[in-house]
Amino acid sequence: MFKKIWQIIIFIIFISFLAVIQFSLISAAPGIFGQINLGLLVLIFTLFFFGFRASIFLVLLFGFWFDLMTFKFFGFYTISLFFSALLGYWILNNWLTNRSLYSFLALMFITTVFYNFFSALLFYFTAPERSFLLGSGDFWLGLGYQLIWNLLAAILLFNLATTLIKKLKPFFLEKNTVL
Amino acid sequence: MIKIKKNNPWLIFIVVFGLLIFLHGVGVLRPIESFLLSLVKPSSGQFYSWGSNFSSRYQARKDQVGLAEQVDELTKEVARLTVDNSRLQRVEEENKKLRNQLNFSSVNNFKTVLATIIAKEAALQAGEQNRDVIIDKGENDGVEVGFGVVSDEGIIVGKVVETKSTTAKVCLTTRPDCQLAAALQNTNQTQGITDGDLGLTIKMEYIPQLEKISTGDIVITSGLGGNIPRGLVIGRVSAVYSESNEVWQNATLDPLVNFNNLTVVSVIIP
Repeated sequence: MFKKIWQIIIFIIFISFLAVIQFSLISAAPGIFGQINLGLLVLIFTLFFFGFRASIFLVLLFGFWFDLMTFKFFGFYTISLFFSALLGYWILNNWLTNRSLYSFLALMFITTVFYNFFSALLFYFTAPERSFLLGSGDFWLGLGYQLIWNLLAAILLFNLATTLIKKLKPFFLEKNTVL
Repeated sequence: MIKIKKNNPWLIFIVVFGLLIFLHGVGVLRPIESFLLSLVKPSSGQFYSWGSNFSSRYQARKDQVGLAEQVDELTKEVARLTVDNSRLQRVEEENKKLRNQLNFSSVNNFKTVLATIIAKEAALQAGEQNRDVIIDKGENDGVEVGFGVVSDEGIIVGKVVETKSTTAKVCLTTRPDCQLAAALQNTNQTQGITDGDLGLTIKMEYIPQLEKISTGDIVITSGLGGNIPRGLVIGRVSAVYSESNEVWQNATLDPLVNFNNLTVVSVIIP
């Protein structure tokens, strides 16, 4: 019980720290470095390795921090992240295995594209200025950069996870042959 | 009968998110939100400063600038002298007018609130340009929508567009739709409106065709239509676009501030 409470506290601190890093440090970073999306990256990682329930907690916490700190309507980030997690969960449940690097990469690619499209549309329908960001070249360039970052990070994280988590270790089916 | 599991993630999300939305809407969460924001603001400022530093260095490297530092220093010097010059010109003009009335008012004696930039916010993360900045002062510090924001050299860098109790969002003068009432520092004090252009430069519009503008002219705030006082330097005219068949002529201005280096600003309280 005590261990679980500690785990929850560490989880909360870690996600809050990530949210602040994303909000302040990455937003100020130039060019391609400003396109890193830590929230989405950790969300997909959590969904893939720890399941939908853990990812929901992440959505609530990361989304809350971002909704609090930014000036979009309250709930903008939570909703965008939630629907991305939902899509990821559906794809993972119906189409992909949770033990393959290619699955992880495919999941990362689809959810990153979906998250950006969804938030662009949500912004279009809710922001007073109604700028259609899907028509902007910067949006597509930013999405491309974000995909590069997320896919690279996915490869790195997956290989890191395989060294730490037993269930992802490669194994061979051996046939006992009698000579 | 539908069975609902106790640890159902859907249920958890709907209940928690619904509660958050409701309590935020009602305003019950406001003290907690303010507390949490005040908790992260110092670290946010520090992180932003690191990011901004990195951004400046990256930009300098990108421009192959061993000369960048020198240019930066000279730009600052020019900006300072421009502000001084503009202030002196304005003081001289006003002096002439006010001497007759014996009603001297001290110029540039604004009440200001010093603020640290804690983040940049774009419409969406994908897409670099048109980023507003978020400062660590808000309604509780007397900051209101429409107030002008100046750099440490005294050059106007933007205006407040949204406020929360402890933070505020500032649009930069280079962002499209960030408009300021402006005037040229020429003999006619030509008036117009400045607007950001692609997040890089500033354009001045609605200048009557008959007005004479030349490159190098300094553009200042006109003090009309808002809470921004007259006389703050916006930029310098770098190009003039005039067509004889048009009613208005336009000009492009170079901002005199490097927006990547901004970390501390002042909000002018009128």
